[in-house]
This record gives sequence, structure tokens and C-alpha cells, in this order.
Amino acid sequence: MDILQVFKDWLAPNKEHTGSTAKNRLKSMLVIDRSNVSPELMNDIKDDIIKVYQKYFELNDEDMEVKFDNNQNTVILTTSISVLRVKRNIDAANSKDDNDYKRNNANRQKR
Amino acid sequence: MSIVRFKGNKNGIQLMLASDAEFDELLFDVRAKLLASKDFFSGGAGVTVSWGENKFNNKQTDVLKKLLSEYGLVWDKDLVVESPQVNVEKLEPRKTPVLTPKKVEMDGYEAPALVINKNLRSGTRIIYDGIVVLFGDMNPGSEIVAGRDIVIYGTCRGLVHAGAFGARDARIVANKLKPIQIRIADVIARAPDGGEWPEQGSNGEVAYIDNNTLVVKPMGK
Amino acid sequence: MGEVIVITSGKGGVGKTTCTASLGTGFALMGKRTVIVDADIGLRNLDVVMGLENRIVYDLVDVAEGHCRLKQALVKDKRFENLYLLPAAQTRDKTAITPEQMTEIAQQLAEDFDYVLIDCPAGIEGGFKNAIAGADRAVVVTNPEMSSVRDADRIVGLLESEGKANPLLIINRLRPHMVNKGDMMTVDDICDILAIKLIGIIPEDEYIIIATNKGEPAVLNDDKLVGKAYRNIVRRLMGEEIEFLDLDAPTGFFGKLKRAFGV
Repeated sequence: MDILQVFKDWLAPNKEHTGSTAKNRLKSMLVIDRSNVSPELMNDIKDDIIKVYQKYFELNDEDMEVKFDNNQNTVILTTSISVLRVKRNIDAANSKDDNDYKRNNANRQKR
Repeated sequence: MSIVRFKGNKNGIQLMLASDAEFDELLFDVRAKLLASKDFFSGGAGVTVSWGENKFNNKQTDVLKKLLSEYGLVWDKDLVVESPQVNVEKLEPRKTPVLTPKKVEMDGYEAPALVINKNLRSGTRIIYDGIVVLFGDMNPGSEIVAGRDIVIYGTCRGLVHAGAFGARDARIVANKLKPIQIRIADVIARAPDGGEWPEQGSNGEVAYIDNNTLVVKPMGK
Repeated sequence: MGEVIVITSGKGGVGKTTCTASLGTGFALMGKRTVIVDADIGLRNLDVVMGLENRIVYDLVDVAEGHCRLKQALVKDKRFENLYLLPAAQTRDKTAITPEQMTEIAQQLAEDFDYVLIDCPAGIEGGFKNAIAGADRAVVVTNPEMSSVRDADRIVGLLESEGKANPLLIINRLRPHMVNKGDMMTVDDICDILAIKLIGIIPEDEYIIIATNKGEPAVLNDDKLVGKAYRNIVRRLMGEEIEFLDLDAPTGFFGKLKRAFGV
């Protein structure tokens, strides 16, 4: 521990150390920079997320957004999807394969 | 806007001349353009020439044909549409004439002076087969390559090459001559290390070749 | 067969050209046959830092376009017999040369020289791609501030995707005083973020400007800490293991006192 630093902190307790501020900001910035998600990968992520949600909800998969957000020192992955309605028969739905849900959804939307 | 334009497309090379310009005037610009890109055109490439509504007379046709042929171009009267004679992508890269001096002569025509009214900044290069007169300063990183003399009403701090196509009697004159390098024909002199040329007084300075060496002297001495 | 090293950074103004000049001169100082190549076509500066601007006749683009032989374009240094500069063209732009031509030139040079150092232009476009094309190793220069580290990170990623794995890191312009006050990212912070091998730390020093004014790379002055830092980088690039300099050398009475008490 830097004794001098302790002394300085005692003199000016609220002084912020911008060096570490820089490091933290940079770290979260680089998560986004490095993820540099390609449109294809973004689509894959979307599809996977849809598959999970579709077990439980009927979704409008046209109206959907996945993005990285930078909030202070953390990075948040947010998805926003518009839900058409909650499925009633979740157990039954679970036993079917994903393609069935898509077809079901499509049919319902047509009606 | 230039009065002379070379355009390359899949049908070959087109030479477009401004309809309101005089033939003599055009000729010099064509020559300057060809000179600046003289190795760009591969041997025997066809070129279509248009001069607005104007027609060339026989003498003009001959002079232009001869000029084009000196640079490996063949004047096609009509636009070739069906069979492209030259593929622009396959042409040789442009070469700088500075580095391969060659004397260019044309019967009965003498190149006039090129007059420039601005400061030349780094990255600018002027190539002209004749006398270049600059009203302004030349900054480090700029270049003038002239077939004949270079006259600068200002301070010269760039690279000047007079007599670039072999004229060893060409001279360089400037109010203040402090170039990074001076070249006349095939003789090169560089600035002293540290960049400071000796002060030569306020009357202007002149550089020329004397006995195979490049000499810089105050004007009028 | 010599080694081709590209000096790059992404962000401009972090000291690539000064580094290239000093490292190249440093290799020559160690007796190695060295050539430094200015790949910053249109914005050349390496010649000025080396004090060789008045000796240029041909340049990189002339070589690529076949106006002259490679040997004709090499400008011999005024201090070292074994050091040469291949200057960039000033009146052309980055598109005047292709990565293939650059690779070819770098290979030819590597046959004749022990070290070929390429000064890469700022940015991540064509000029960058040209400069790194023929390189065996890459050195990334960064300053201890956010935008520069961020750009360095981008460059590391691009280098990796171009097959130049394991670039080396130089942290330039470190101000120990600010680091001590907690107002500058530390060397550890930067290494932690970039996660590539550190090969040099160079302190901020006004002397760099004086050296450039004189056209004399700072590596030549071993009285200065920067000179020593450059020499150490050269030796590390040659494979030696050398401890990093203590840049925190105290100045003045209180500094020495502080050091004596170990605080």
C-alpha cells in the first residue's frame, strides 16, 4: 500500500482516481468492441433465443431486437420481443419440436 | 475544368477536347497530359478524338496524329463499340516522367509558360513540359517538374526539377531558394543537413548548371 | 533471411514513426544490417525524423511501379553504414501500392538485411493492410490513455484475423508522476486489458521533440531515459531478456528522500 496515497486520501477523501475510472470504462467498452457481432451471428443468437421463448410464448418474431448496452461498468445484453400471447398447454408444447411451434404460430397468425 | 480529358472505358480511350478552345491551346494540354502519363498507354492503343462540333483541318489532324503516335496511341476516327481494342484494367501503371528524362520536340510549336497563382502545399506535384511560373510559395513536400525553367515569385522550400527532360541549360529562379532538393536535368543537389541554405540577400536567387555542378547564386551576380 | 517487423497502432500520433526511427537506428547500433520502410504514402515523415529528407530521389511507389531498382531507392543513413531508409512517396496516395507488391518488396529486403522495420500509417484501411502484408512480427504502440488503448485493441484483433498472431506491445509516453497520483492507467492495467506481450515502456519526454528537430533518433542519446528504453526494446526484440527500467527515478531532494524511506 502506498503510504503517501493513504495520506493524500486522508487530506482529500473524495478525490477520484481517474486512472482506474479509465480502466473500468475501457474494459466495458472493449466487451462491445470485441464482441463485434456480425449480422449472421446476431441472427443465430436471435434464432436461439426465439426457440427458447417459443416454448412458452407465442411471439411476433418479426418484431424483435437483440443488442449490447453499456451501463456504467457492466455490459448488458438486452432482447426485446413482442409477445402475442402465453401458451396454455406448456407441457404439450414442450414435447413437440421447434418446427411445429413455428408452423402453429404461423397458422394462428393467419387466422 | 480542364480543356482536355482522356477517358478510358471498355471501348478504348477517348480524348475529349473542349469545343470552345483553340486548337493550339488544346495541343499543348494534350501534350502535357500525355507527358504526365506517357507510359500509361500500351503500344498501339486506339483513341477516339472528339472536339465538340468542331472539325479538324488536315494540318491539325496530322499534328495531332503525330503527337498521339509518339506516345503509342493510334487515332481512330470512329468510336469502336463492338470490339474493344484496349482493356483499361490491363494497362501498365502510370509512370512518372521525372525519372525517365526524354526530350520531346514538336515542329513549329513552342511550349508556353504554365502560370500558377497559389501556394503549393505538401503532396502537390506539377508536371509541365515548358516554363513554370509560380506566384506563391512552395512548401516542403511539394514538387515542380518542368521541361524548361522554373520561376518562383515567393519562397521555394519544396523539390524543384528544371530541364527535367534533358535541358541542362534550364534555370531555377526564386525570391528565396531554400528547397529540399534542386534538380536540373540529370544533376541533383540537396539542402545542407540541418536544412539551412546560406542567406543570399533579398534580390532573389538563381540556380543553374556550371561545369556539371549545380550552382546557386544571388541574382545579378 | 532477415526478419520483417511492422510498427503499428491504429490511432495516429502515438509515436509510431519516432519508435520506428529509434528502433531501426538501435538495430544498426547493435551492428545489424537494418532498413526502415515508410509505408505512410502521401504523409511521409520517417525521412524527417531520421534527418534524411534532402537525400530522397526515388521512393517506395517508384520501386513498386518499376521505375527504379530497389537498391536505387534506398537512402543511406548519415550516421550508420548499415542503416537504410526506403521512403514513402509524398505526392501519391495509399492506393498507389498493393499488399502483394509490399510483400514482394519486404521479402526482397529481408534477403539483404537482418531487420526490416515497416512504419505503418494510422488507420485500419488500405494503408494498414499494405504495411502489415509482408511482416513476420507486429509491434503495437499505444499511449496510456483510453482512445489509444481502445484503438490498439482493435488493431490486435485485426492483426490476429490477418494471421499475425502474438503482436508485441510498446507503451509510449507514460507519465510516472500521473500514474503515482492515480490519474493515469498503469502498465499493468493496459497489459491486463490488451493481453499481449509487453516489450517496452517509454516515458514521456520533451527530448523526443528536440531529437526530431535535429533529425537524430532519440535512441542515440543514452543519457536520456527514453534512449535507454529504446535500446532495451531493441535488445528484447533480438531475443534478450532484460528487466524493465524503473521509470519512477526520483528527482530532487524530496523524491530521493521518499525513495530512501521506501514510500
